[in-house]
Amino acid sequence: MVNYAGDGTMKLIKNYRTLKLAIVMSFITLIMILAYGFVSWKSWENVQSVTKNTNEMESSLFINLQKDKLSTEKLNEYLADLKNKRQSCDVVFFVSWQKNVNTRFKKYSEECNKSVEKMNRTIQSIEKIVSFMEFDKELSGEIRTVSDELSKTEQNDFITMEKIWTGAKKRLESREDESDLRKLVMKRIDAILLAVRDLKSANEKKDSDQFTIARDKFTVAINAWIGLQNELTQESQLRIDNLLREF
Amino acid sequence: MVCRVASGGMAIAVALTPTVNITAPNENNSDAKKVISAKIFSEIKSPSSLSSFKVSDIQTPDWHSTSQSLKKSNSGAKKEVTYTISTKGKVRSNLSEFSKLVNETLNDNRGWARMGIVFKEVKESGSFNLVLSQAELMSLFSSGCDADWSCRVGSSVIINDNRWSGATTAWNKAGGDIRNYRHMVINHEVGHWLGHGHLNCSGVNNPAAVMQQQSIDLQGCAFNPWPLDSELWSTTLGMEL
Repeated sequence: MVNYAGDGTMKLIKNYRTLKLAIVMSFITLIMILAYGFVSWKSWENVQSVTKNTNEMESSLFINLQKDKLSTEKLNEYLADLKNKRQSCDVVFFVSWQKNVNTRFKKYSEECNKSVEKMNRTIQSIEKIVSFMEFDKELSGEIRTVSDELSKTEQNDFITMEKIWTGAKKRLESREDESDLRKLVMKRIDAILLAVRDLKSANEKKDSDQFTIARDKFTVAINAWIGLQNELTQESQLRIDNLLREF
Repeated sequence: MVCRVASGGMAIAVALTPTVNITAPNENNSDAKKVISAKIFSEIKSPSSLSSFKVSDIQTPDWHSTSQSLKKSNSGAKKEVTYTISTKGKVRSNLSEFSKLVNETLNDNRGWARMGIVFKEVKESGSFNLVLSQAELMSLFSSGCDADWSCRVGSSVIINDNRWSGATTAWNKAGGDIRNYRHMVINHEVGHWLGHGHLNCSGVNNPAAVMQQQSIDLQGCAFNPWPLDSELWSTTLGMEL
């Protein structure tokens, strides 16, 4: 009897424990579902906010670009600001999979990536314009220096002319940014230097024919140097167009 | 278990997802883009520094074989030469662009302007007439002109519209660009009006004379759209080298 009664109590106790466990488990599951739901909601809300903020930054940049004087310093300011405020569309891994099964999340994710990529391209375009403007500042300074020095040089003083152009070449060569444009400028200066050296040599040898040819070479080399304005204008136009394409 | 939790979570997330209005930048504001473009351009200085770059001419030394016969033609006051611009037939090219580039080329400090000439476009009675002509009508000017090339007949300097818009096959194959072709063809044809005939290449790798027929064959010379120092003379204007 005692044994039977004891068995029954044990059964009850067991059932009660199972029930308790089941209730606790259900409660934990519910908490987990709610927690996961909250994290998911926050994550996707964040993705949308990133899209919205990035688009607003882009719009605000477009308005500011029209208002302000676009000096190198100002563009650098914009760059720093854009880089600081740049956000990521990344979602925690245990939420990110949802975009594969839900079209709405997929859309949020795609829109966000698109706007961030667009912003990255804008940043790159501004960086390229700033880089060009810095090179332009350096080059126009050199053009002024060479022009001033040449104006103080006596006609047919080929030694001084060579020194002036060699000096400009060395200064421009000493930096590495904008390597393609630098190479182009170097090529034009080299042609001038070659013609000046030919003139110097012809002058020393008093060779009329060589002098005539060297003078023609010099004219052409100077014309090509002046013609560099076309390449510079084209390059700057290209970089500006790349930026404006983003708006 | 994980799967069930995840699905449940997603369902809740969908239900709770807020709706945010996304503002996109204006994509069709071409005027604003022009403003930005102009603002950036105004900060770029090297092209304008180069366009005003001047070096003094190389003087012919006393020992030079031609020095005794040389006269400086550009030492005096500037000489003004007027020209008109017109079209013949149906031309595809933009006339105002043509007129602008003609003026820029003729007055460029690399060109004939180095002789001390200022070229000025007038509406009528110019010293010469620059005509942009439909290719098929070129032969109407003279039997010496044809649909393939530009030419000069008396005071008419005729630019072939096909050549103006597309240069020549040889030119394009050699990697020449259209702007330089246009400089060259204007300088070359106006050169004829100034009294120049055709020249050959003076030697391999030497710069080509602008009066060489560069669009046909460079003959080993280096391409050059501007007159050489040795070409700075004009029988028409009575300007000797």
